[in-house]
Amino acid sequence: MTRTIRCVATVVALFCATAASAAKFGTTERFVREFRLNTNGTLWIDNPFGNVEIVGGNVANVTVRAQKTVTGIDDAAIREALDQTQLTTTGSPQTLIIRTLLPAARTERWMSVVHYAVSVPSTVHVKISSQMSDRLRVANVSGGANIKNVNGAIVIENVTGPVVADTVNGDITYDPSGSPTNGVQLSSVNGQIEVAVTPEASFQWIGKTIRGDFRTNLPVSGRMSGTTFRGGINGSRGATITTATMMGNVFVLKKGTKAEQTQSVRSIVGTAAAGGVGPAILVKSFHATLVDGDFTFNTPLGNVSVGQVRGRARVTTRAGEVGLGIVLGECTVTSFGGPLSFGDIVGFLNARTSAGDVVINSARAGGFAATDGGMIRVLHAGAAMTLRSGGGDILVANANGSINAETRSGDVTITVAPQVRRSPIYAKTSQGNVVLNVSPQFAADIDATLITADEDAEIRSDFAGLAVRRDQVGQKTRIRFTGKVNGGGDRVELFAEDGTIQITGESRPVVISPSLP
Amino acid sequence: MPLLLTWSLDAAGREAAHRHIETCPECHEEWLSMKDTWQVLADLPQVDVPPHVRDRFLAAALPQQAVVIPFRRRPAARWLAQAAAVVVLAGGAYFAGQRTAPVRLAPRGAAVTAAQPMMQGQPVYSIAETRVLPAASMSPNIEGRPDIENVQFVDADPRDGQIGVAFDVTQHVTVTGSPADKSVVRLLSYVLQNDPKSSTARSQAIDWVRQTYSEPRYANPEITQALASVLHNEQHEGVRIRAVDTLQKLPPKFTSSGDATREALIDALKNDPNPSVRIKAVEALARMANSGQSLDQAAVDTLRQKAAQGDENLYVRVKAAEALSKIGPR
Repeated sequence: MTRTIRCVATVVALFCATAASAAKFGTTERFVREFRLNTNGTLWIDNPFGNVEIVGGNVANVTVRAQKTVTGIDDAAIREALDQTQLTTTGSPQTLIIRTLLPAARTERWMSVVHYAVSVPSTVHVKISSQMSDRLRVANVSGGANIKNVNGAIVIENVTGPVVADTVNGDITYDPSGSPTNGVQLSSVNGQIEVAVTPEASFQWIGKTIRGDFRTNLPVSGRMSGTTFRGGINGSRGATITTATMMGNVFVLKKGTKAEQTQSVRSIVGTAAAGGVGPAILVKSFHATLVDGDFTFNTPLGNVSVGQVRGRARVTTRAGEVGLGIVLGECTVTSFGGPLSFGDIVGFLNARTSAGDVVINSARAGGFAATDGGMIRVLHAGAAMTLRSGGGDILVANANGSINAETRSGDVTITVAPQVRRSPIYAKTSQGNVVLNVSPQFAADIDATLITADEDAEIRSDFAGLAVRRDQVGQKTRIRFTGKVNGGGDRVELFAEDGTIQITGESRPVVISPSLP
Repeated sequence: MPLLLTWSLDAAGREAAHRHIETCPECHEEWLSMKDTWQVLADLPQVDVPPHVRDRFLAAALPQQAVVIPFRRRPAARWLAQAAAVVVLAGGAYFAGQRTAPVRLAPRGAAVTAAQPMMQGQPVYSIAETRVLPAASMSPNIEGRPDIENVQFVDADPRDGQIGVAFDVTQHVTVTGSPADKSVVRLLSYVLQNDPKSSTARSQAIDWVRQTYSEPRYANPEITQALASVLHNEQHEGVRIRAVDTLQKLPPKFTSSGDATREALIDALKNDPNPSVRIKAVEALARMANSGQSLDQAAVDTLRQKAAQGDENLYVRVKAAEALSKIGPR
């Protein structure tokens, strides 16, 4: 008996608590309205948060069913949410605009979503703008559709007019119920695109993707050119469907089949460049702690991270981050975009990136490093190094061999190891400063040139006995500092424009900033 | 004030006079006026007195010479000035001979200056008069656009929550205070935005800001705005890269601060010619989205545009897409 009472009491308490919390934390309002809209008119729904479903039919008017759901931390917040989530209607019989208005600055105290279910005359054109939703769906409309959102799926069914669908993270499903008869543009940044057509449907297909793939189980012809496919389905007749997704896949399916039943278009058609079959996989990353031997890796897109390579390393990526810890042999890395970082490279280093920083902890055999834009930092250069940056600082903290460093814009700072008494140095910046730190015994033939519009600018040197010449070059002053230090040695050529040149004759610890990863 | 102007006071007297002038608006105004007049007098051309005017003047003056109390020039001013000059020269020469830091050789012949980077905890040597001002006693408003140079940052004791900003204006000044002090913030903002002569100084200032203002308790929208301004206006790519690096490390304590950061990053992503700056901007936006910070419509549109832009660096496009993938419900 006691047990029964306890159970009943628990159930009742749970029920009461649930009811109380429901009453406190949320509520829903529903609206139904009817509007007149011309048969060739446009319906525009702007609803930031919530689903929208528009279905065309043999009806004379537009019927809008809206459900406003709000949740809040207390009753006042809920009242505020209801109050500040406004549904408005404007326009004319030619253009009907239904809009959900929310305050510009969102509060943490409440949330609101509005779901719309709308029936329209099938001949109208529909436009939907949304930010977050589970799904936006348009069906049975011949006037075309224009749909844009950030998050949430877009489903377009039996829409025979022109279609434009654009989402950031959502998937797009398009089913024209036959062959598309008008132009269709479907684009998603991170989602996938699926087009389902009848087996005999024929259309032109332009597809673009960076990380994804094009797949179909229909007869396809065409050509891959880089990340773009141009071709068609069933003979490429009729309208053009353009599918663009950055990171997702594109599927063109026979209606009723599944994505698993498709094959990659790359494996079917040839590439424009080679006339051969395109790579089936676009994205390939590699992560390993140890590669016992030579390491060769080539990917159109992907990151590479290896702790140690006990041989030579040769890495190429069109875009991606490359990080190699220890490489015992030669190291050649090419990236068309992305930062490069190296630990201890024992062999000759050859590193290039089209964009991004290059960080080298140790290049024992020296080498070459270049970036079209970004900083280059070398903590230890065991031998001669050539460094090039299209814009960004170059820093060599401990140079044991000759340094040839040039940047289009940025500072060049080179600290020659204290035990090095002579070494050729070339440092040039077209906009920035050049700082050379050498030991007091460093012997060199100095040739430093500073071109500047600053009248107070000057070349600073700890070494006496250098000749200074100052002349005018156009609107700027050229200051040239030449001479031998410590009896003369290898040539040290420094060039800076719109900055300063500083030559210090002391061993000074170099502060790496920002700190290395 | 005349004594102060003619360097006729000893160091303690000068310091006391300066302190009073700073706290007394009337004296401050008078001091500025006197300095201006003094300067104007110095700049006036020396014109030889015509002989007939001189003769007339002497003729008129000489008969009265006996009844006029002879003007005895106070020797102290000149003497002290000479002594000060000797001390300054001797001190300067001594330091120049002793120091191991760089000696600056002026291009028109060798000249010794005191320029040297200040290391942490290292005492400051300067041949100029040095003044230490507590930030709390200063007005945070910087009037005009003073030409400040040789900016250095000091944190003698990292535990005491005090920092120092040293610079040269008409004299060497060190302003000390908490990083949260409005005067310190204004001064750093000014240094970040108004030191066109040396990108190195600005880079150092940015590094200093990153070290100091990354702590959430020191988050300040004014610093963020200053960095955003650097990112927008600076020609030097290395400095812009530093600025964007620092911006993403500052805590978005204030809404306006977060907005300023976001706007600066979006602007850099859209317009910066250097791909590395754009990469860092897009990475920062991705990090913001990842950490739950909301991205407004402008940010989303820019990222969207970048992700789809065929001629943009592929890595930037991929990063833009990654940033967009982190966007959740706001």
